[in-house]
Amino acid sequence: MKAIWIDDDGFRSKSLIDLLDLYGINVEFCDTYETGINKIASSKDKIDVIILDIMMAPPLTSIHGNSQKTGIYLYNEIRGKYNGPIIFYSVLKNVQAVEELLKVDKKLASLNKPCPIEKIVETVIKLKNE
Amino acid sequence: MKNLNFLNFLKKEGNDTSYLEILQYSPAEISVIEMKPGSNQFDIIFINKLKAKQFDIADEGNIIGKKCYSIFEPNQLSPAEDTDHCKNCPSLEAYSLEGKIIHIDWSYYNKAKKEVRFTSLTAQRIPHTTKVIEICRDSTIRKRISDLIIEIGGVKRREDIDEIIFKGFLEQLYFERCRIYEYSESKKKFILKKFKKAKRDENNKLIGYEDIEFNNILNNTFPEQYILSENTKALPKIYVAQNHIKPSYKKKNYVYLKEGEYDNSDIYDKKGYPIWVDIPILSTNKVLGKISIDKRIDVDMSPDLGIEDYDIEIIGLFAQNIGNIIEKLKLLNISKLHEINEIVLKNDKTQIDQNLTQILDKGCDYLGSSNGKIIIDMNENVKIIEILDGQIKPPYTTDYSNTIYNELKEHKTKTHKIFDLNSETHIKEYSDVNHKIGIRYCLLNPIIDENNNLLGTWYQESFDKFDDDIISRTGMLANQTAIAITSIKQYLELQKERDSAKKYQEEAENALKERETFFETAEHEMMAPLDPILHCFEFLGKKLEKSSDSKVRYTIKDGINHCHFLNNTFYNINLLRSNLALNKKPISIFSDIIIPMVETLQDYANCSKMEIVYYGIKNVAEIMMLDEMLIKNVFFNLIRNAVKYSNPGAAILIGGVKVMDGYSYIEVVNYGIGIPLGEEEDIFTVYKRCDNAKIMNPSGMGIGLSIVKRIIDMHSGYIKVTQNSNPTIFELRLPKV
Repeated sequence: MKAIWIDDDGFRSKSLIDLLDLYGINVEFCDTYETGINKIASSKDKIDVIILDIMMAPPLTSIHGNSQKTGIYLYNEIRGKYNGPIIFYSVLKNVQAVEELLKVDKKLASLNKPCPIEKIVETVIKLKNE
Repeated sequence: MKNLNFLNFLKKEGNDTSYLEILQYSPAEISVIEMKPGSNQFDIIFINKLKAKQFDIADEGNIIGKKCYSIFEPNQLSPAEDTDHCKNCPSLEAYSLEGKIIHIDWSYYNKAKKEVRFTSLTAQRIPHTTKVIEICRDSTIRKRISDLIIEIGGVKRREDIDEIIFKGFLEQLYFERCRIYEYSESKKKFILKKFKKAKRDENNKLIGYEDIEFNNILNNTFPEQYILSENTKALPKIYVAQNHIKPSYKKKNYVYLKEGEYDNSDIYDKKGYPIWVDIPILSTNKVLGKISIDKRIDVDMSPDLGIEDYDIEIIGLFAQNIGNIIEKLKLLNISKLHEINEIVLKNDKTQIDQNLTQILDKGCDYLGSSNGKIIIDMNENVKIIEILDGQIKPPYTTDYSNTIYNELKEHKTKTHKIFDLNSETHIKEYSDVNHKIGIRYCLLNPIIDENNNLLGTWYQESFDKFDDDIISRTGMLANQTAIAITSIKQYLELQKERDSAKKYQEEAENALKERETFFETAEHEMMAPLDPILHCFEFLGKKLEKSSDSKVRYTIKDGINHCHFLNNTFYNINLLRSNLALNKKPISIFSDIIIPMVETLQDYANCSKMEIVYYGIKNVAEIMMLDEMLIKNVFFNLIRNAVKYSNPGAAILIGGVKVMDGYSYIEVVNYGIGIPLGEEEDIFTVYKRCDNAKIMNPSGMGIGLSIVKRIIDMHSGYIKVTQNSNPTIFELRLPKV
């Protein structure tokens, strides 16, 4: 399986990337908004899941400038072009905007850090089968 | 008389008719004329519109009637309009001379007598012209006085009455001077209060009033019989200097004074004003005062005042209305005080700021009433404030204010006190102002609040002794004032407290925000590295799952469990300060929550040689609608507490008990130190820790069980703790849906 993970904290993501690889999920990591968008647009392989951080630096061209919601804007931009599973993976809990999206998007899930690997993998499989 | 053409009669050449003849032909309530001696001109004729019909004056639309009347009303129309009117008048040829209408085609000059005085009994002299213009009584004097009666009925202040009196007699009825007196029962005299004179321009047109200086001298020599007495009737009394009139003009109702009886008196100052009228101001049962009016008169002219017997009646009625309104306004003070109370009740900040805050901040030492106003003297030497309009208006000299202030300081009592200001003690201070106007008595009524504090004094002064009614009313006003001042003070104190509370609230909110920011930052900084640590252990666990070294496998598992433990601990703190939101989904309570939690904490329990055992999986509903994260936290807290507060070797049991009425019953049993009797409910209070728990484990915060109860309550469940000596049983009841 192929995953794209967009998170501005590359330093703390390495262990999960290696771990997911052991579970057969190959992760391409992007540490900015723009590189994530470009990676998704340019990917030749089928993307099985996209993992998004919520709080991250907004894009340089952003008009909203709210780092608390960068992941939400990213989701909105991606969702127009990509119909596969998306997982919000963040320390932030009970984000209202995410809760609202979860009600309407069956291929969307939200997991809180730290999250056991089994839970992550289980969620990916569940979303793929939706 | 009906067919008489009155105009033609007047135009008749060489008319040498007598005054009485003219009068005979005069159509009753109308006008005629006046002419200066030697002049061949006279002023306009004016004819009552209704009467005109009787005299065959057809063209009434132009020269008579309402239109004419309005044209000649003084001070209302411009000369140009007057001229236009006259130009359009076919019967008369007229031109304007300095705004006065002169009709030159009427030459009724009596050559034999060398004078013409065609003044009917109904004439009204208008002072701004040297001629006499007759005007219809029904439309002038009576109408004007009726208007004044209506106007006086609407006044709300004593001063306004005086203004209407001056306006009425000086402006509307053309008198030149007007005095207003108050009657003193104790002195049996009228005391002069105000004296004004009409101020006129070079054309004799009224442009305002001017005050005339006066003195009240108590023992004047003016003949007592000429002064209105207490038993006077409502009708005005007219006085005439006898040497100013010819005997033929005498009227029986006038009082004729001989020389020396009037013009030698400095007090009454009638020189040059040989005719005057005294009009009594009467209430229903007594004389309140009088109005005295007068005017100059030329020796050669008619001595009448332009008022007749039936005018006098309506002027008397006007005076009586004045009396009634003065009586009514004695209640004015009460209404003013109501206004203060309303200001307080409305909490109108602007009004309070303007009028009252200042007073109360500096302390209210003296409050009184003078001429219907409420004034507050803020301390011994400071200004007096007119409370209702905020104007600073000191009515008395400082000495007088100080005297009053000192009196009330010495008079700290709950009852009123009356001062006779003419006594020797008071005469010095009193003479400054009040002596001039004849005030003798002063009533001080202390304003005392409910705590018996003297806030000030209600003060009232009078020419006469205060009767019981006044004393009682003043007492009531003092009580109302105390309530008003107390209310204002309370309001201001409350406002201060509100401001203070608001400040503290803002500080508390800021502190809370800072705390929240700190927690959020700390949580993020702690939880973010916990994620890679967990995954490092998981990575190692996956890589080494088939390792033969059990110690390696155990260490990796231990690392993972510590990560979960730390995560749950942070979650507890997070829950304590957050607004919890339920995110329910179908969950198997044992396989999704209890069993993983037991696995997480089993090693933790094993370290204390304890074992966590679960049972009765099938005794509860297989699937329940729960918030997975929150219910996990419930069992994390209950099991961790059981481990923390049990002795080594004890067992911890988690069992499904039953399903009843749609609820699943689950128990968490421990054989720990127990809960002191009577404190079973307290343990669910945040930060509450039992003494035995503190001894056994000093590091706890006392938040776990409060969170447990909160989460269970949110699920519409129930938790209770029971102890039968040992064990301690936490019983949970969770709904299926």
